[in-house]
Amino acid sequence: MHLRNLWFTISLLIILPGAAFWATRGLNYGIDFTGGGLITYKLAQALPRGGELAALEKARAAIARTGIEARVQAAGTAAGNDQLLVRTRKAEKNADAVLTDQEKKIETALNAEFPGIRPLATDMVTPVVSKDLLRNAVWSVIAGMGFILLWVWVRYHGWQWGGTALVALSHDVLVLIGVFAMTYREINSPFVAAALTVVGFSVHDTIIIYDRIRENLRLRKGSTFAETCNISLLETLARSVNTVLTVEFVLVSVYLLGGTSLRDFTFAMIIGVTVGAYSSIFNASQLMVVLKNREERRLAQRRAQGGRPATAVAARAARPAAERASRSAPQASRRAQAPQAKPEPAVGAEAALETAASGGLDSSEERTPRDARRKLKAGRKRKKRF
Amino acid sequence: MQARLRWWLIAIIALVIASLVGVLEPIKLRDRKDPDTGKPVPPVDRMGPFRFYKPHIGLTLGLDLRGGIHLVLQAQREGVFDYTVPELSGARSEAEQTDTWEKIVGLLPMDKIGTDKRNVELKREGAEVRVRTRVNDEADMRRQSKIVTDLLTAAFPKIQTKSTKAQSVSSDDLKSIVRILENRINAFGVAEPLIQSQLPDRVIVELPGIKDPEKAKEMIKKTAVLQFRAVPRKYAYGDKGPDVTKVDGRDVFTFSEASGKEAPVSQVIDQSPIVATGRDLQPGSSRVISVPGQQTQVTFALQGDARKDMETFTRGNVRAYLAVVLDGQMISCPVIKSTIPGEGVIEGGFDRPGGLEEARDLSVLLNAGALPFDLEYVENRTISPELGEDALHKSLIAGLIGMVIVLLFMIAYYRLPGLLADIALVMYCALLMGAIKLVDQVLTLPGILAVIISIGMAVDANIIIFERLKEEIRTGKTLRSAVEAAFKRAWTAILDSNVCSIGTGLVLFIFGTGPIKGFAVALIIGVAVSLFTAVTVTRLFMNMAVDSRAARNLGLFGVSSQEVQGT
Repeated sequence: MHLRNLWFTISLLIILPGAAFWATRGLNYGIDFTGGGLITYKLAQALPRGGELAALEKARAAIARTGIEARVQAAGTAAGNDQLLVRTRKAEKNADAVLTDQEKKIETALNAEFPGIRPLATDMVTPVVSKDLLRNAVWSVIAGMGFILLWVWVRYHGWQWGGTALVALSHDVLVLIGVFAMTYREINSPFVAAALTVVGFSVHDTIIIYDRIRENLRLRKGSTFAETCNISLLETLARSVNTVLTVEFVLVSVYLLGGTSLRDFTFAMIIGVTVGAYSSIFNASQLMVVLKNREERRLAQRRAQGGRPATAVAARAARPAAERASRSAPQASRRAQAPQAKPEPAVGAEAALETAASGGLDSSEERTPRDARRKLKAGRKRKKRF
Repeated sequence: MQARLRWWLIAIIALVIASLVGVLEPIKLRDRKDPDTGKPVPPVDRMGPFRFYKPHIGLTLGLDLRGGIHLVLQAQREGVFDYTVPELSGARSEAEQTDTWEKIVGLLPMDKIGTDKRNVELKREGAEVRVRTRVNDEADMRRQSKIVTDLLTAAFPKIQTKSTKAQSVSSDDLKSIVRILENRINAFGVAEPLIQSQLPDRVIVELPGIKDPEKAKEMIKKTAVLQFRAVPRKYAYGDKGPDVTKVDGRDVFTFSEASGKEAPVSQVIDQSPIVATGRDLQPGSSRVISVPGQQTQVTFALQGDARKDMETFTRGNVRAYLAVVLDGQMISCPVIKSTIPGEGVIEGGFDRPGGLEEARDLSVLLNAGALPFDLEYVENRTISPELGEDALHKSLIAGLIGMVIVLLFMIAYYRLPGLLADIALVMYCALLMGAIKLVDQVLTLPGILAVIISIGMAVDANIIIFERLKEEIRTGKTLRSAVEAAFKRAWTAILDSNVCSIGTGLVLFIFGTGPIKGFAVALIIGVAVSLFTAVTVTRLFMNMAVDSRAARNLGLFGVSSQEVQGT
């Protein structure tokens, strides 16, 4: 329980500063979403190391003299920065003509300072298009998340599964935006693509874990949800780590060697994949536990109100569990390290429920005769009788 | 080996070979074409119907990898205002009609309507006057309509407003725009251009490998309408024509009023009513006539009503001047010598270095047909081939290194199954390329990234299965049933998670544009193919391994025998 709150806190510790940056400085939207021009110039020779800032100042001053408002940045390879990125801002009317004109002026101005400069790429987006791109980006994120929510909901027969998966995914996206807000990296169409890919990949982890929880719920009737969840997490941990590792291998390789065009995209993916794995393990299933605990507590309360001492039911449940536990001691001891590694004390309003739970804690391999659903059934029956 | 397994193996290997042949194209029945020039490449060798080539990566590269220009054009909305002016009806005298018309022409505030000076068209048919102007939106149209109506009503109180409507682009208009742009671009000779309509009112034009993007942009932009305008008599009539001077071999016209005051050409154009436009040209009617020692001529023919209009106008206005305006530039201004029966020539201005090429370009424009709407660039992305090549090279190397690390990791961690998964992964790469070739998907830089990421993700299914396998072996099952159980139990999780990946991929495909679409397609194909290789192919290998001697050594499966229950 304490650890669970710790995991949630860690998530907030990344999201909140990001949100603060987002609120104060704002996000660095690319021209895809604001409209404007982005010109990549290739310099005849790389900027001198150390003299880079001076060179950038020179470029800025040259452009400022033309009266055009522009941002200048250096880019290039590890060997040295030999590219200048110039960003101009939108012009509402006749954007194309204005931007093309600006482009020519900037090139002339820069050519005077840096002879032999030539444009490698020019991107020009007018406000008509950028509005559409932004709208599409927002819609794609909503549609992507909605699709996953529905799919998980339908496949797992419960809104909690879909809902918690969605919370975990939103968490991933928020952290991603937060990191981009803090580092002031550019938010553009590729960023949205990266975010959605992360969402699609992060839900892999969540689903693998949920699938195992679902399977274990059938196998371990009687364990509390928290334990089942914990066991399932541990059983799938190797897979979660290994999958993230293999994806990170290729991503880091592309980040380091893949050239400038892909760098922000891969950066977003690296952050997103890491965070996605974290959220699947430490957020999605933990939230599931919180929800299920609440459900179990509600059931217990209902049963308590029912009048029949439920302790008897639970105690009966606990007995065979303890017996079986002692029978399969070797396996149990092998598995026992799991719950110790991350103790998840059961939360139940009823003392008896905890008894059953503690019985299951040591014999995680084992089943107790009644699971929550059967308890529910029993509860209903009693209600009918009275 | 079981017979069933053998057939599966043969089928899969055949599929991989087919993919490799499809992508690398070492043998072809038809000519292999060079992707940049579109010309056939000479084969290394021939044997019967087969042509042998040096293997290359026969995938179509996107603009961001080979350089080129990506343009989005938007058709501009128009407002059409119709008026009936009694002073222009046939009941009035010729002189009064002419006066009225010139007054109307002079009245129009060109700087207050339209979105650009040259977007206003004024046309007369009997007593009907039509003002066609470019508008930004509905409100802008009402604003412009009010300006025009107020001015005209003040001057001619008896004027009637017939209709005021916005003309936006229909899907048929868009189709014809695409067709016209196709005609034009094909005539200019660009290898593998892409011209695509994007509803409701946009056209995407991609010109790969283009050397001079500025020229290309101009070529497409030069799609504006050819106009024939009647020059008002105060500027030119009879013997008093415009002065023509040659600047850079191009004709430059100078008009002056009777008072001797010079009038700028743009003002003359603005004040000259349109007789006919390029909209009314007969497609395919234009030719270039170039005879040594004579002026180069571009011929054209009008069609439909415009033919009649031109005939009527020229019959009644012999000795008046007709301005031929293309893109707001006056390219010729002949005096009307006799009735023009709807056919004519444009001459002058082509007799200089490069003039012949220009004449051909003009002829191409006229033949392709005029656009029903003005187009504006709303997005323009240019990538130099150099940048594209660099990105392609770097991303391929990065992907290769990343893949090698994954391969090593899988062997180190999962031993024999890892090795089998690695073989499946290499096959996956071949099949993925084959699938991309099969659906003829253009490979963009984000697309390559999607392929690389999918390599990392493709082993995911294997990792799930192998982790499961370890567990199943530990419970003391025989290897064969453990393999069966692992694949069976892992399947639902693999399917669910991959459906989610494909789902987000589809969303990206639907909402994304350009390179993002390329990314989405590559990702979807990657996930789908990886489902096949990671499950079917690996399963086949695993079953074969179980049948072999390797099955005796559990250590090869990453499980020590002490871990197995019941031993």
